[in-house]
Amino acid sequence: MRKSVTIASGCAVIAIAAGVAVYLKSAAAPQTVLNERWAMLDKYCVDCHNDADRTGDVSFEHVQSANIVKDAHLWEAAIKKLRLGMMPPRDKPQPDHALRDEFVTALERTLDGAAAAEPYAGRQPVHRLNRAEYANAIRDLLGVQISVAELLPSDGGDFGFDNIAAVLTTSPLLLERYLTAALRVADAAVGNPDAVPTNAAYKIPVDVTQTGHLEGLPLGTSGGTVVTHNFPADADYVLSGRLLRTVAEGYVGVEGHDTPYEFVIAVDGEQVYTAHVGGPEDHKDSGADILASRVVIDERMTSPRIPLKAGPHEVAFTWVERPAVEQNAWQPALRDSQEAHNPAGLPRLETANIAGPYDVRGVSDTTTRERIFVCTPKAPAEEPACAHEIFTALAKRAFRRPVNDADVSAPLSFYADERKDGGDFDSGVRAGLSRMLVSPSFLFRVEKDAADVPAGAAHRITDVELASRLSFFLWSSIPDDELLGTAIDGGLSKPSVLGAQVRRMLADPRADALVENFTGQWLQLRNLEQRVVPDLLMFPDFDDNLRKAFRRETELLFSHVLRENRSVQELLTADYTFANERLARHYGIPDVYGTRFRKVALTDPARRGLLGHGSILSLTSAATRTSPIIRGKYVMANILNSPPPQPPAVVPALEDSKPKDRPSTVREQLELHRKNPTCAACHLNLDPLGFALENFDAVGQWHDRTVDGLPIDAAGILADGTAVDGPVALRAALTARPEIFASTVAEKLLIYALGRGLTPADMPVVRAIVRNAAKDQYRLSTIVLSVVDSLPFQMRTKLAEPNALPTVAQTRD
Amino acid sequence: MTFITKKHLHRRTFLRGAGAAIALPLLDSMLPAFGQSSVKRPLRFGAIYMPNGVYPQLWHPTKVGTGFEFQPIMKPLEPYRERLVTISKMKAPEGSVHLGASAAFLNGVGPVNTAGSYGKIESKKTIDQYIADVVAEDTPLRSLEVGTEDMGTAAGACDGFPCVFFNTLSWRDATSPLPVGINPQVTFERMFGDPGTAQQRLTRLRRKQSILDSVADETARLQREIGSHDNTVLDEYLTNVRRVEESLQKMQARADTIAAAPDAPIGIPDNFDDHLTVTYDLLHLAFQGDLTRVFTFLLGHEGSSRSYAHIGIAEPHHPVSHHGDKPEGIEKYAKLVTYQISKFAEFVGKLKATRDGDGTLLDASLVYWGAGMSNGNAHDRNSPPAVLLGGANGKLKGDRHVSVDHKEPTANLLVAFADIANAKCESIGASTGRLAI
Repeated sequence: MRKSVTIASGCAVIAIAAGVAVYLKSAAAPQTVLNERWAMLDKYCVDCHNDADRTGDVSFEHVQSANIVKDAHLWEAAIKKLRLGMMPPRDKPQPDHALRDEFVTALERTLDGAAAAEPYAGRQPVHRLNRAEYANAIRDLLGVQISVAELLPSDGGDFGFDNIAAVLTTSPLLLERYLTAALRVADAAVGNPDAVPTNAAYKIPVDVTQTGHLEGLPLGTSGGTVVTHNFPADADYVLSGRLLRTVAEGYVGVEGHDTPYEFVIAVDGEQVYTAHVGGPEDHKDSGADILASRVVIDERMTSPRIPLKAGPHEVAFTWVERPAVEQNAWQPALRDSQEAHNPAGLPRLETANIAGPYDVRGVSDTTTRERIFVCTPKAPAEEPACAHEIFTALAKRAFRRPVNDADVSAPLSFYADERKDGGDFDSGVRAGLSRMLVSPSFLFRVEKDAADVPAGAAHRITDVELASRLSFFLWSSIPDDELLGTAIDGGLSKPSVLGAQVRRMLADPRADALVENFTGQWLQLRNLEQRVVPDLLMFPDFDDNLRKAFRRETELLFSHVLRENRSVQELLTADYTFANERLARHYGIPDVYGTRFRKVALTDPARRGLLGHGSILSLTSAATRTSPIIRGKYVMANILNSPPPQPPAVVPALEDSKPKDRPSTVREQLELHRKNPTCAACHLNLDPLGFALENFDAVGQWHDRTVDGLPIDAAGILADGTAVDGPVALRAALTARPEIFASTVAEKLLIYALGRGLTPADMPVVRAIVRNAAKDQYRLSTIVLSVVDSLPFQMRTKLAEPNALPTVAQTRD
Repeated sequence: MTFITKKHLHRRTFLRGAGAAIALPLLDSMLPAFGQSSVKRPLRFGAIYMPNGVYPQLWHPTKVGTGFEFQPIMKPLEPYRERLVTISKMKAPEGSVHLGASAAFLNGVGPVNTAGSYGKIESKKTIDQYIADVVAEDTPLRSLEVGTEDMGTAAGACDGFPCVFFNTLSWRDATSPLPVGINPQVTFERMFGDPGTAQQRLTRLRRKQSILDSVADETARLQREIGSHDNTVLDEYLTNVRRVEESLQKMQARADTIAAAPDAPIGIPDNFDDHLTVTYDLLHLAFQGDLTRVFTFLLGHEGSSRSYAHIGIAEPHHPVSHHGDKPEGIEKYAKLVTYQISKFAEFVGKLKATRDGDGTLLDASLVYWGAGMSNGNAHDRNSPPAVLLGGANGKLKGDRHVSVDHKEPTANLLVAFADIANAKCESIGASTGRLAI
């Protein structure tokens, strides 16, 4: 399947191949080392990994040093285990570590040498935009923000990411939603004077604490919410808030307020409506007649019709802040609302509503319309040419390539049909735009095989294709005019130009998509919202404000390390973090006030780096307690890149693990299963990683003792024999060999960048990226640049037979 | 063909204008009873999947045959005894402990994953789709797939498989998964089209049809331009374009149903109980309005960490299912599933209360509620729960507990469904015959 590469001149890909060559010359010939050390296999491995037992489905009984490249699947897995010191197991005879490392290096060099001679580019099928990419593409194409989770179904995913081409299938459901989305986006972008009045309801989750100022709202306000709403036309709108009533809706929501509160609605920072809610009168009325009182309060919290211009506006629904003493609020926990009660004595918004349009007066120019209407026809005769110009400009950006008349013929015919049916120019453009948004050229990333290379050969993708790979990697979106222009001019693949573009793109706010989508999946931050629901009675302070702060902290650290050219090691070791007041209070960091996140020094070494982040510590806990197993598994999979195998289907009962006569620690409860030989094989490696973090509770707060007052024992021996006794020692162990964590990040980034799983044939590329980064202090930005420079990112393999995808074994987590 | 022309109730004014309260729309009783006269009553088929198993000792009756006693978890279904058959002692397929349990629910196979399948998603056509082949006729939605959560939004590994296996009960063919939709508003719009006046809904429907028509042409053109290896993805796109075209055509023929649409639910309810209620109501409405005759409902994905705090269970679903055989753990596990059964019972009650031809919707339905394992603590594939509700148009006699011999594979039950529906499926997955129900 794999043949020699056809490499165009002057490309960065060669840099990595050259790097391999230099490194290959740096020591004794690998084949000699392997032959000398081959007996190690018999001595240390074959006892378990033989043809009869096939422990872990692996046998070294008949492998040969001449077949390493052929058996790459086996050897790449072995390299990983050996580099982590996980094999041979701790309780088995150990080879001399220096000799072992020499052996592994020789394995790597053999595989890398073969890859340099026969580079593997791989190939992705036609690549559908996933949900996040679709939303960003719409934003960058039209300036319209959509809440895509409501429009499109989720994409599934594989290899830990949701941008994997091979599994981005389509279904009737998806198709229907693409149609619906296209019509709605076109309405929102062009504006729609015929829009029917609807009510958009923005609900505030009950676990958002609203007793203080919230980010995004004006200073001097307390609680509420702010939404960016797209107004379809210049018209009147009715804005309103609804109170959380609580106690299973038996209340009005104004009970117990000593004095009235001032409710405020503001559009783009301008107050448009205000009303007083609560106070003795309302309290009395609510007691007299709940139903009547609700209607009165609802009406009072509803604005009259307010004239607003079309386009996106920020609408804030909030309360005027009062000094804390005047709030007279009894607050037993930081979280203001428990499941049924709202004990704070403060009004709390449940929903913000925007209804309209009423009395439409037209659609005035919006930033979105400016993007679309690159020309304005002054006379009917100019209209066809202008429509052509509009769709040509849109199609180039939407399809991410130069376009011709055939590309705009479909939108133009929709435009023409709409005009024939009596629609005006705007309606015609709207119709054509909605058609364009369902075009396969928009929804799919299509790369074409080069005509002049033989089947089976790897070839460079075009500069225009490269522009899309870059923008979808770094921005999860379409290229901007500068990137696409550079590509069309033919200069993008020049290393200096490419490097400059990558740096420009990383500095751009759109690269927040890389931060959010990559960390959201690699570090599983996306799971915070759904899966972190700590038990309310044990953790009464936990609220959504904290949950969001957790996510933000980790994203900001990653973003800082990436954009400030810091070493990837700092993700694990940073003696600073990013916090607002809520998070700082949670961690016990003094002197941080307000909702703004800022960089703060960490004096407590236990808190440093990702493993001290509330996000990761809560993600790896159960609702009522920590889970050393989940934490251990998390570290193995996401920090060491060596996920443990699935547990056996039938887990032996561990009934007696919990002493009945006295409180016990989680650790004690786990001791028994580590004594069980079925479990011990994995858990001896897994659990100590989790035990080391045991002082951090299920929401990431530090404790010296358990809730029952028992001392916490964080000591353990890691797979490679290192003794650790807490997060500081664990961190030291994990960073002792920086290339291990760098490999994890490189491998995950490469999967994410390519949108495909990696095969053993890709591992030489991963090692080249890590070697490259090693020369530059393992800077994260260097890893990203090396991914972009890598062969599989810049090339693809032309296939010989229809549907004959490379049949290489897969590496999945 | 059936037209629904009259409305029995005024539409609720939810979400209408500024004075609206936010509440669940009452989706039931919105459409007039389907077919007051004695038109042909089509069979309706539904399959509902419960993740993480059901504790078998508190589920399966001990007495076999009619007049069996209801165990605690199944108890909420007792009022429908006359239309209920429960089956025990079957054997569900092995496979990946969690993912395999739901993925094989309706085809007895789950993921087909061989060394050569890298980069391909593959399973087998599921029984609901065989049934849709023969019962769907001119219903706008050939089948409807719903759920309450999906793995697509969650990060991390999906037990080493593409996550779609966690999100999907139904496969149109070996390479076309039909993942569940979890947003009731989206499901509603699939049934009734976009919001707006009846006229606007129809206008949009026609616009969508013409877009699809034009997109089909463009896709075919693009396919000619690129290499044939890359056509698989576009083939699938084109196929789905055609399928949706067909669906919209059928929907257009139901203009009156569209006009009768109640108000749409908004988004995904915060409260899981509401989410279940509104989803069941939509399924009921879809059957009642004859918008679909086949649905699958994934109550949660396997290994779900869904919180059931709203019924007083602090730990998430999956840890609860690993109850460690401790009495208090089993109690929680049973409580959780009993709650789900009581939500199901509400749905069955609505089917029973809805007239359909000269009987009720329940008489014309076959609804399978089950799981891919029994005791979740051990991921036990022996004796998974399988309870059937409905009369299947006279083909299923109720009030029976069927206890099979020799661990008959659950796939045999799927073959029995095909037989009831006259669908062309004589064997599926590891089936060894047809289970006698």
